[in-house]
Amino acid sequence: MKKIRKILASPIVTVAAFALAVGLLLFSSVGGARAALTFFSETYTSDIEMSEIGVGLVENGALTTGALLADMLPETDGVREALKPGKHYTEELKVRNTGSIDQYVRVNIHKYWMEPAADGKEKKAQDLSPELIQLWLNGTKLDGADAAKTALAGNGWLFDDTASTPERMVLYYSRPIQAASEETGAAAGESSLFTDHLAIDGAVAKVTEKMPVEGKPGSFRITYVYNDYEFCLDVKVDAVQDHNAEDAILSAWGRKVTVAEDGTLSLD
Amino acid sequence: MRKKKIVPIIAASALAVCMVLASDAGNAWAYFTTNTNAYGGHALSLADEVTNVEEGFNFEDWVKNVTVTNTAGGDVYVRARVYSGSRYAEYLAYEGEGWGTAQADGYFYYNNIVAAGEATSPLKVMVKGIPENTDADEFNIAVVYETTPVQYDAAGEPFADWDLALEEKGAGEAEKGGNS
Repeated sequence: MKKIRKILASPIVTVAAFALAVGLLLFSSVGGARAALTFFSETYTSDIEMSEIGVGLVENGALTTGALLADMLPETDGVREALKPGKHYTEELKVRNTGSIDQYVRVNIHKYWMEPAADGKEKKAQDLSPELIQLWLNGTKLDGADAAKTALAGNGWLFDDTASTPERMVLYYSRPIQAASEETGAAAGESSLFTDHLAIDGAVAKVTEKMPVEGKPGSFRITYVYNDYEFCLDVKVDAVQDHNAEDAILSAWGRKVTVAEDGTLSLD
Repeated sequence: MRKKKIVPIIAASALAVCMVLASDAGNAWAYFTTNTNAYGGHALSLADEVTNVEEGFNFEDWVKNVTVTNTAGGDVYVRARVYSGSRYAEYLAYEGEGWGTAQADGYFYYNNIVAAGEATSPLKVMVKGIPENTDADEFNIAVVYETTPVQYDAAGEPFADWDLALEEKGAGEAEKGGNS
């Protein structure tokens, strides 16, 4: 250590360090000069294409913007037609690729009831089954039964048994949805329909309370318990890139899938 | 001693470098994902149902008029059945606009939907050719009527489901039809 201190303290080392500092200063100036030169050089341009992923839910042919079922009940003179339990209302839902890359999609359909409250604040109804809110496809009720799975599979949709409940239905589209292409002129790709009609089971109009009418013997007031209950349909669409799809789906959605060479997706 | 102090410093530095690298690696493994959602709903409109029957018997022409009124609430279908002593059945005749003939189950069905505030046209139960010595006090005609809420099929067309069993909340029993 004493030797090193002696060397560092020598004038030669001091001079060498000074020379090194000057050298570094000069080099930094040269760098600046080079930067100035590039300012006057020719300008080169290049296009960088940014990939964008986008997905939309299409209801009865129109892209939704957060609202569903707005046109389900027709209005006449500002009065909306009453909901008719049992009637099948047109509700055609599918997915559209609104981005610039191909994608795989899954759909979460959430069905539930809201009950009216005295204070005007609605709350979720616990005593009315979500199965009374029926979605139909090609004449088959989508209730998780084999017939429903077959109807969905016919349209390219896979019913996920492991994630679905009476309140929630999870569907995967078995094929990638193509993005629109300026090169080929292809329009934005769409899935097949995963539902085409919606109906409320007439059983909601069966549960009653019966009270005799005062002053009218033999006459009763029948009150329907679920009057003013509101059914709700909440549909969420998830999309993921088609490249390295198996890992991407496992990472993003936590679901193991297999993607065949032709791009067909199947649930493991 | 000095060596012992340097080791933790180097380890901490290495950890910091690894964390920086790992954060970059995380970005490299991310996938393109997106989502959208939409929701909506509508409320049920199941108004209270109150029906009432009005009966009047005219001894001058031996006709009983039966009218069922839907005083409030939702649309209903109506049917009625007439009971009398078996020896008088052959003297009874029926007519009424909108009322069909007696069906195999013995009921007369009113063909139209009875909306709130509306009533059926009278079902006339006429006694014809009854022997003159019949005691009016012994003669008895009872009418039972039933209503059922209008149901809709898949096409939205209304129909009556007379097998519909209304469930009374809390009662645990089912009752056929609306009023009886």
